[in-house]
Amino acid sequence: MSRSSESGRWAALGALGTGPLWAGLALAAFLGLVGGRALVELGWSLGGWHWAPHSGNFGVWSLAAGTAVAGGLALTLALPVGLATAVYLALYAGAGVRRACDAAIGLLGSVPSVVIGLWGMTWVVPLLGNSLASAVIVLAVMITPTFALLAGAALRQVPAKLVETSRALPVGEAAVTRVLLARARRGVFAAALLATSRAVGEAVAISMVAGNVPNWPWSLARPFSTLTTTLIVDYDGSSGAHRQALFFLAALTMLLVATANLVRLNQIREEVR
Amino acid sequence: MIRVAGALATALLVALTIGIGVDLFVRGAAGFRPGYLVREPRDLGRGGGIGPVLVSTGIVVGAATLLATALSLPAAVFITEMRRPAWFGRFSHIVLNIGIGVPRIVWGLFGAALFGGVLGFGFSVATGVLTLACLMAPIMTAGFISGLSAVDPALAEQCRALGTSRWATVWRQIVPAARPALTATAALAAGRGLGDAAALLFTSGVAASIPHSCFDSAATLAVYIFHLLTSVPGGQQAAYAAAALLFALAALVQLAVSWAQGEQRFAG
Repeated sequence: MSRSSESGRWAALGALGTGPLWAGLALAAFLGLVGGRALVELGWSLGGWHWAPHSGNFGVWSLAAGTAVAGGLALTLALPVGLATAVYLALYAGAGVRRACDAAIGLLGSVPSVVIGLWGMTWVVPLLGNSLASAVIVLAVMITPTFALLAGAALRQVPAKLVETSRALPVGEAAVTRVLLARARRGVFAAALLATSRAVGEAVAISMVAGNVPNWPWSLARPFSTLTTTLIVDYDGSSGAHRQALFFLAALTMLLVATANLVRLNQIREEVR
Repeated sequence: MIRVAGALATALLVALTIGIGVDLFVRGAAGFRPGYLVREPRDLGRGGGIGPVLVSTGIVVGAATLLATALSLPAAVFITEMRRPAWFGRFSHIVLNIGIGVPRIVWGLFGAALFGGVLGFGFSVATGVLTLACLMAPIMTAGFISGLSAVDPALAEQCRALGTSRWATVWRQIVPAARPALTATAALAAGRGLGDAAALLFTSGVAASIPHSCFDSAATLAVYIFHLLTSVPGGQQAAYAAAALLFALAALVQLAVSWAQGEQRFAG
């Protein structure tokens, strides 16, 4: 093969091979454009206290608070459970148990969100109603397995020598766990950030149990809305200013998720160095 | 203490997995009538089968996976082989990782506005496939990159010593050597597409019939379940059967992924 035809092939590959990057950049440009336009045309209306699109009130704060509160509470449930699972599987479980549990937890993590939502409608809503509490539980079930597996992967990066040495000392299992977590803390933190970004971005499962009323999320027993559930419930019937406000919500969601991911990348990079 | 708490937490997650699966199949069992997998839905999906939905799922998820692979494999090869300029590697790393984190519903709105609105495809297979391919591409590219970088660099050196061109080295040696990791990644991305409702709801739409062209609307299984639960009064019973099926399909994909991946406990 001649040199020139080879470099031609690489050029063609380069043209084709930046496709996924362009998809990401197109999305960023799109959100910047429509979000910016909504900001210009709706202006202060977006900063109001109430989301009532039919009377022209597009205040995003109660929805953003819904996302923050539901995500925060779900993380308070998911992090201890996920971390305890990861530590148990890394330090104590036998190889067979670990493999079986990893498979089961991986399966739970891969259950489609609409199926988790249906489970929530069947088991959680009859107990707790369409409410913030139901949404928190459903969200926690969605993010715990991912966090447990990723935190577990971070723990397994810890050198075996370190683990064996600390286990040989008569310091007790709490100290061994502390050594393990101290060494893997960046990876665990990165896993927590990924769980956060999933919690912020999840729409389908929450919308099936949250009640979807734009209340402020101050009561566990009341229905509420998040940024993403509003998108999924309102989009189809929206037009004009309402639709612009929805695009602003999408841009806001993306901003939150991108921030979490940038912090996560920073964590991982410093760990490699 | 930690050991007990950890065992309890693990047991909780495993019990949830088993509980959700068993519950779905028990409740869905009534829906599995003879011919359920091939017949058309009746009465807005409350009766009959889900044949057309399965066909649509295969078409939309299959086409999106193929399209995303066709975009992502060249991208992964290009990014791994292009070591210069240095900023390009970092830049693509950041774009891909943020792309992986983009919420499905945001991809859905993007696809609906761009492919459905600006390009005029409306609610259609074309809009859905393009949107889903956008969602899958960053996942696949990042997975392909880590698969390709895990190949022993000695292989490339041996090829260079033999005078093999870089092109042939990559496509005849490195890509085949990385095939298990590449397959696992593609299966993972297909699984994401299979389970997706948020990105497809406003793009490929909710029509429960076999699409006759790529400009017809076609509901995938996940979207169909969401539609049954939110827009069809009394659709919940029928949703259990479909959800049990979706759970089983997702489990199969997950099995394929973990079968293709290796495992390791603590680094050497």
